[in-house]
Amino acid sequence: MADTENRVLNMNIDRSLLARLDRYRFKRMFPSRTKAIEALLDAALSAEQSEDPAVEYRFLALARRWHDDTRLASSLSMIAMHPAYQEMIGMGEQALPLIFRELAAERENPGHWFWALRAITGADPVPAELKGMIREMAGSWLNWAREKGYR
Amino acid sequence: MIVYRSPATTAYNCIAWAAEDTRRWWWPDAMDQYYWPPGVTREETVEAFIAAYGSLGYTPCATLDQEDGYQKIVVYVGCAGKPTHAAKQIPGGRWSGKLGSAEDVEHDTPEDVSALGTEPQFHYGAVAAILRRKVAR
Repeated sequence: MADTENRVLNMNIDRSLLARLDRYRFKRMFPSRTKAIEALLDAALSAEQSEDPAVEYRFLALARRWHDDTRLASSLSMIAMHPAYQEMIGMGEQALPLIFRELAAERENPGHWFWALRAITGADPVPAELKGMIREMAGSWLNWAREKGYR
Repeated sequence: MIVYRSPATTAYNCIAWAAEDTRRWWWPDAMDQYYWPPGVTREETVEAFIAAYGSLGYTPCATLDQEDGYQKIVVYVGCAGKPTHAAKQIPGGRWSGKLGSAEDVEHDTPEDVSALGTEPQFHYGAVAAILRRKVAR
């Protein structure tokens, strides 16, 4: 198995895929798994998806600056063209698990992550009739994230 | 004087609040992620905002003074020359606005909120349009 994993790593395949494979293997090994095991598996997968603490630290610092500066803004130009927001978009796919985590944590008052998600993923899972309905928009993106294997 | 009237929420913004909509965030964003009235030009210009409120029966007028039988809205433009904010007049002649993702507030004059924000580029700026519509009495 170790040889296989090394070969896969050398092929530069996403490590989060390996984490998901491990998760599947553990589920097979412990069919009557407890909530504690589930939590450990979730934590392991979450750690895999935000591998680098420096990435997370940078993201959180940018998010804080963006939030502080644009809290009173209605304008999407002001909100989404803020330099910190643009920098988070520039982080690309490595920002996605962190954005989804923020979106899930802000469930009652989701932030304006939708431009970033649209720009990074190219997807647009929000139905036309829900445009502008922030909680529903966040729900649509979180469903999309689950379907794509993000936690 | 600014008086805070609600908890902070991202459910709606000032443009929606002035339009009596507390379910949606209104903005004519280029990525088409937010609500904008159907048939109204989707661009960040004062003309487009006047047209958006026009879809609710508002028309431009000349004065901020309270007029019997009319409801009024003001649209602000920031230093970049684009709309930034809106507020509606409430009985007594004061103004009510929603501060972005923050609270609803009431203030005496439209200028009371012109310079809110961390940096000048985030300020609401000056009133660029005054609109009114008749209300049932």
